[in-house]
This record gives sequence, C-alpha cells and structure tokens, in this order.
Amino acid sequence: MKFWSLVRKELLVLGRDVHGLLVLFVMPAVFILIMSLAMRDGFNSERAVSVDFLLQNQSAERLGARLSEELKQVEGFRAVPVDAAVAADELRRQVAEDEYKFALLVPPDFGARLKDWGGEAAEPVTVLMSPAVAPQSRLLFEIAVNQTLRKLQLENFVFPSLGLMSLGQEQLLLPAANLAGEYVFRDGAERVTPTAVQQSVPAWLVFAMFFVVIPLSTAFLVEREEGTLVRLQMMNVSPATLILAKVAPYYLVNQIQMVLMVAVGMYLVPRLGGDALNPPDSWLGLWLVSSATSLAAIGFALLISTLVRSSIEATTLGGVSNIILGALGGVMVPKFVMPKFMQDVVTISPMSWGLEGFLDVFLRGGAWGEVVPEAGALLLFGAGCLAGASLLFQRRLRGLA
Amino acid sequence: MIQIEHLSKVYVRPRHVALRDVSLHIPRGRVFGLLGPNGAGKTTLISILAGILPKSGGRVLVDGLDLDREPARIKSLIGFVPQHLAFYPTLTARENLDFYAGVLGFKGAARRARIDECAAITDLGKHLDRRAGTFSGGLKRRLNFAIGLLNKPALLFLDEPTVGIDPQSRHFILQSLLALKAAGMTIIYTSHYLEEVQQICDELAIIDAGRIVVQGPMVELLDRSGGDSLRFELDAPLDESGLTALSAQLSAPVQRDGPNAFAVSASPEAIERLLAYLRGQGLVLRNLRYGAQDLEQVYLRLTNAGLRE
Repeated sequence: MKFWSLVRKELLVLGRDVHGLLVLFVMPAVFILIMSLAMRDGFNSERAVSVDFLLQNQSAERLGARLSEELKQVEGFRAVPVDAAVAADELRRQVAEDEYKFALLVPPDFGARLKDWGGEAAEPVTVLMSPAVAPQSRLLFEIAVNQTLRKLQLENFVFPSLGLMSLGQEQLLLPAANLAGEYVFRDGAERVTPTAVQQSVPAWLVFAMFFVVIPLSTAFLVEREEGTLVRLQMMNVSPATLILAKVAPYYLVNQIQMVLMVAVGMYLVPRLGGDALNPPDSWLGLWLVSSATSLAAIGFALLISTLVRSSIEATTLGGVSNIILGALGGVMVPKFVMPKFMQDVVTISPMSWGLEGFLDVFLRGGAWGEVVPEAGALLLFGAGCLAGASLLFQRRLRGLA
Repeated sequence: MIQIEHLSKVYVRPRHVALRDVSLHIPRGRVFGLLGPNGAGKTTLISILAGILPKSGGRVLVDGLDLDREPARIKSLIGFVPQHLAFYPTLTARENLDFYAGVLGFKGAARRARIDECAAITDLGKHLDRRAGTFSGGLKRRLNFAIGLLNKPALLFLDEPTVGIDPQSRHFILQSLLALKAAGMTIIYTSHYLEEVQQICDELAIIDAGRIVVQGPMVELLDRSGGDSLRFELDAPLDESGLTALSAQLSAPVQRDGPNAFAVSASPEAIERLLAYLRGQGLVLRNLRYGAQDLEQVYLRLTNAGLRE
C-alpha cells in the first residue's frame, strides 16, 4: 500500500513536470530526428556522398571535351560546368569561401600539356581546393582526376605510339570491374549496412535514459528540503521503501522512452526522408539491455541525488556528468570514427556499455545472450550506485532529523 | 503521555552536544509549548520523540511505550506538522491528502472519509481540487496541518505552524488546536510567536543550549517569574539621585529597564506612592503595568536577550 502510493505520487509529480517531460521525451526524439536526417549520407556507405566541384573547360580541343565527359562519370563527385569566360579569380573566391570544395580548370592548351605531362611541361589542369576540405576528400578527388588524366594520356599519346591499340582499349585502359568490399557480420548473418538512424536511436536513447538524473534528483532535493522525507519517515516509511519507490516509476519511464524512441526511428524518421530503423532480431535482448541501462541510470541518478545539497547542484552536477558520460560513451561522436586510443577510453563510460548493448541487438544481429556482458556490467554499476545512494540517504535522513 | 528521563544526544560529526540530561513530563490532553532559541535542541528533541533520530542516552516513554522497543507503534500515535510545507505543490490538495492517507494505510471509503474529515477540520473543503502550489500562505499552512491530522494522532507535534500567514488564518489554526485539545489530543507546540504560545499552551518548557531551563504550567511560570512586578515609563529620564529617592519612596530598589523605563518588585500599594512621588516631582507617567510578566519577557530573561547567531 505504502509502496504503490509512493509510486503513484511519483508518476503524478513527474507527469506534471513539463520541463522534466521535455528533457526525457522530446529532447531525445528531436536529437534522433536531427542526427538521423543530418548524418544520413555520412553514415550510409551504400548511398555515395556526392561532392560538387566547379569545372571550367577553356580548351576548344576534343580532349578537353573528353576530359569533361570522363569527370562526369567519377563516383562521389559531381561536375558543375562553369562558362569559360568566368574569371579565375571568381572561381578562387567561390572555393575560398567554401561554396565549392574544388574547382578544376582546364587550360586552352590542355592537349599539349597532357601530352608532355610528367616532363618539363606545366600541369595539364589546375585544381583549386577549399581550406575546409577533408583530407580524405582531397585524396579521393586527386586520385579520380589523376586516373582520368592518365587514362586520356595513355589512350591518346602513349599507346598509339607503341602500336598497342590493337589489344583493345578496354583491356588496356579500364579495370574490368570495381573492387567491392564486403561487410562482415557476427555469425555470418546477412544484414543491411549500419545507418545514421541505427546509430542515433541507441545513442540518444541511452543519453535520455541517463537524463532521469535531472527530474529525479531535483524532486528528491525538494522532498529533502521541504521536510517531506521526514514526514514520510514519521509515517513509518523505511528508507528502503523510499528508494525502491523511486526506482520503479523511473524504470517505467525509461521503458516508455525506449518504446517511443524505437518507434521514432522505425516510423517517424523514414517519413521525413531518413532511413528506417530495422527492428531488433531479439526483442528479449532489447528488453534486457534496456532494463540494465535503466537500472544503471536510476542508480546513478539516486547517487547524484544523495550527494548534492541543493537543486542547483543537482541540475549542474547531474547535467554535466551526463554530458561527459555521453561524450565519453560514444553518444555524441560515434565510437567507430574515434581513433583507437579513444575507443579504449570510452569503455569506461556506462553509457558506452548501454550503447554497445543496443548496437548488438540493432546492428549486429545479437541474440539476447550476446548482450549479457554489457547488461551485467550495467547492472553491477547500477547496484553499486544504489548501494552508495542507500548509505548516503540514510546518513542524510539522520542529518535532516 | 510523554515521560522523558535523562535524555541526551551527541552528534558525532561535527561533535556537538545537542541535548544534556533532559527530563520532562508532558501530561495527556494538554497543549505543551516547547520554546528555545534557534539551535537550542527543540528539533532534536522532537525528532527523537518521533523516533526518526536515535538518542545517545536516557529513556523515553510515549503513552507507556518504550521508544527503544516499540518505535513503530509510537510513530503510529504521532501526527507531525513541520515548519516546512511538506507536500507536493504540483498535486491538488486532495491528491496530497490521498497520497499521505495511502502511505498511512487508509483504503477505499475509509480513506475518502478521513480526507473529508481532515478537510473539514481545516476548512479546506472547497479548495480540495486546486493545486497546492496555487494556494495562499494560509491555505498552504492549513493543508500542511490537515496532513498531520490524517492518522488520527493521539499526539500532535507542530513546529512553527503559523509562520508567514495572516491573522485570520493564524486565529483559525489556533482555535482548531484548542478544539483538538478539547477532544483529548495531546499537542506539542513550538513557535517563536510567544503570544501564541501564551494564548494556547497549558504547560511550557524552555530549552537552551540543550538543557531545560524551566518547565511547568504556564500560569505558574508567569506568576513565579514576576507576579509582583511594577513596570512604568516616564516621558523624561531620571537621574541617579531621582532613582535613589524613588527607591526610598517605594521601599524597594528601582531598576532601569530601558531609556526612560523602570521596574521594581513591590506590593500593589506601591502604585499609590509612585503616583504621589511623580506628581510631587512634576514628572509625567507614560504607562504603567503591574502583575505577571508576559511570556516574551520571561523567555528573554531566562535565555538571555543577546543574539545567538
């Protein structure tokens, strides 16, 4: 009776805490939408990123036109033709201001330059690059341009002089096919490629689950400061009942968060143009990792609640520690883009354990047994926090009295 | 109702002796005032009596029950109205009462009936479905009071229950307490509003620095502390020779009690002699009071008037 009255009260209070609801439900949903849509192409290896570049052809020769045609076939880049009359300074300005990442200028004597390329002659084309261009993009663009120029040079000047044209151009100049890599999944399960939504939903879900620290600790502090806890103690409510009555409603809140965020990923993100979140192979695994993450988050929140002495401290310490754990845990920056040493560092964050557990079930085809290590670590962390919170709580109650 | 024998409490970190050898008897069906400066040990004493703070030594019996052996039963006898507004402002008054009634074990119709009874005692009936955070100061105090009554306590602790409210609400709460006393409830009342304490308390204890300075029935205490006190104020100062002459006239040493105020212990006949002397000297009397001191004077005298913090 006492327990359920406390749980019901907690849910009523939380239900009327507009700011708490915004933090717990709206914030992660918005993050998932933004990140899933904004990072859609960056995460999806099947959907090639297309970088526009300016192409100004000042050559009236056939080779100049051929170069333009060849460059239009390059995967990952899209040529934006520029009239030959446009001044080079204007092209430089556009690139310098990062309106385009690259500009490729084909000079009027392109054919002659290409013929002598490699010798004393000037470069056959001029490439301008934005200072903001990523090194990987620069390398890819240079390889693509070099490959095209070499092909034209061999085709038009080298092979004819060696009498090799009878072999056929395809055999001499073009690769038979592009080399394609293969994604490897656990147990050989055939899976689609990881998408932005499959990274965003677990990441922001874990982050949101840990954000129960804000409403929970604030409410707890108010109860401590306003004498509600003392009053409840005088009504024969034990500290253990008080603690457990906090765990139960926030566990429910975390599970509602999980259902809503998964639904956002599965149904809302695709409606807005993003990729859909694939349902997990193991719903039991999802529940297991979700429950373990929830208990870790609640334990952490209760520990913060008992450590702090004011609502301002609770908001500051809870918020800052959550953001640090999130940054460390691969929520804000995906773990797979981090350098190796950082990937090792992030494993200290419980958010990382939760995230890996969710990625197991959403991306790697993990069965429920495969999330047990992460779930176990989270449960241990949660139990440790809860034990610390209980000890501190009893001391605080005595201090209040 | 409550028997306290040689009670002591020592806080360990930081080390602080909060109660020293406190012995008290609080009779059943009375309103007992517990007074003292901030930090004197009142809250510690109430917390020990309520079973939420362990004592360091001594013995406490509540309604014949030993606190060491039956703390849960003792708690069930106690209602508590803390100084803080210990309820949830985003819940309605009814939801708050329903929550606490549920915690106390009331179910179904009995719970609803008890909520209605407490709302009636505190006249909250027409405000029950408003959120408590929207209440005026007086309504909040009444809700705080109502929650303390939910378990039909035999013993009610009230800690500054009238802080920050208008005279009407204060009057209502004090009258309600007197009605509860008439119904047989024992009430322990702490407040810094000493005129309230004087108005409603039958018995009194003043605690300072962890010790009981004085205890007993209110009437006796006031009488003992100055039943023959003559206090008066003039419109002009009186020099030392004037003070000596006046003392001779009244056959008792007259003490200074303010810039132009004076006090002396004397029989009622001394009033006539005082007035005659003042007329003879051409001095004008501003006010005069004879008899028991009020509680504030007794309190300040017993606890020293200087600031404590």
